[in-house]
Amino acid sequence: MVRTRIDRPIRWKLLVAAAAIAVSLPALAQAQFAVAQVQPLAFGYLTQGLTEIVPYTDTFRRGVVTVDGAGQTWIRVTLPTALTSPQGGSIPLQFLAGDVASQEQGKAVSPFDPSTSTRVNLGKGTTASLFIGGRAVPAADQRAGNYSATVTVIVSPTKF
Amino acid sequence: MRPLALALLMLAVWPLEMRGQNYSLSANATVASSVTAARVNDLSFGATAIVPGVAASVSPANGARVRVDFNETTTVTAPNFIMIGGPGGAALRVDLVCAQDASASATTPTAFGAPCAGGFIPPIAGNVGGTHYIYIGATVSAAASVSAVAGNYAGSFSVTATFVSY
Repeated sequence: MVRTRIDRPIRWKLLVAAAAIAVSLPALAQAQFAVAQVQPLAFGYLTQGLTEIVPYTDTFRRGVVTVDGAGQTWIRVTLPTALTSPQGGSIPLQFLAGDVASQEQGKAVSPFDPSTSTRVNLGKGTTASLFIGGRAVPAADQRAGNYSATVTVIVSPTKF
Repeated sequence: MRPLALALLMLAVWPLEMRGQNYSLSANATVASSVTAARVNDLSFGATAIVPGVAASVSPANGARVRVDFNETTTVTAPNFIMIGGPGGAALRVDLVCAQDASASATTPTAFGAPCAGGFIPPIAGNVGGTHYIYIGATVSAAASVSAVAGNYAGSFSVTATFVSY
């Protein structure tokens, strides 16, 4: 067995360097991608008893977020099950395969199953967009009001 | 070697720290207010004539009935009294009495907690609206009828539903 001996001062320097790397790399990783909401997913005025569908191709009503950065990353959306109102009303939401899509800059739009994550490869200075459509299912006697929900977009360097 | 091993261990653990970043996107929708009030029955004292100087009344259960459909918190009001017109421009004061019930055929609807003008808010909770009925009875006091000119009297009044419009 070959053992490499490292002098004590060098070992301490290595330790400090390794600790510095370990502390700084997560910060770098988190700063690697920037996500911004371009527009919310807006169902608009709903008709009682009628399911309202916003396809991801609807440029005015779909939700849009952009991802800036460089390298490969995985994107997943955590989708709400309902819109809710301050008065206590709720409207079920549905997101089916094909309701959500991603697009790397200069490439075709690629729908994906919203229950899974999708991979994007970003070149330096390029942007990926995430288009989010969905379906709102109001009841026949749905209570009036303004309803809202939050979609969470998760960006991770690893598949999840 | 211990510090070096520690450093290597920290590096090995580092990927676990590379967790995802979360961002929020909002979704929204609006459901428009839909409130209607529809007359079911008119208010009538019936075929029996009012005797001047004698009070006459119609109970809410036997009076006018208005159906209110709503999907938003709504205040339903009616006037406390109306003046109905008779022969030669005569007027007769009629005091209204309001009650409410979820049923269209209640025999003992619940009286408003306030005079008719104070209004009633049909119950709405949670996710959906509903239907409620307003029952309106009336009284002609003895004082009001004592000097009334003989003849037929008629008039009208409004039942108003007030709500926030989305």
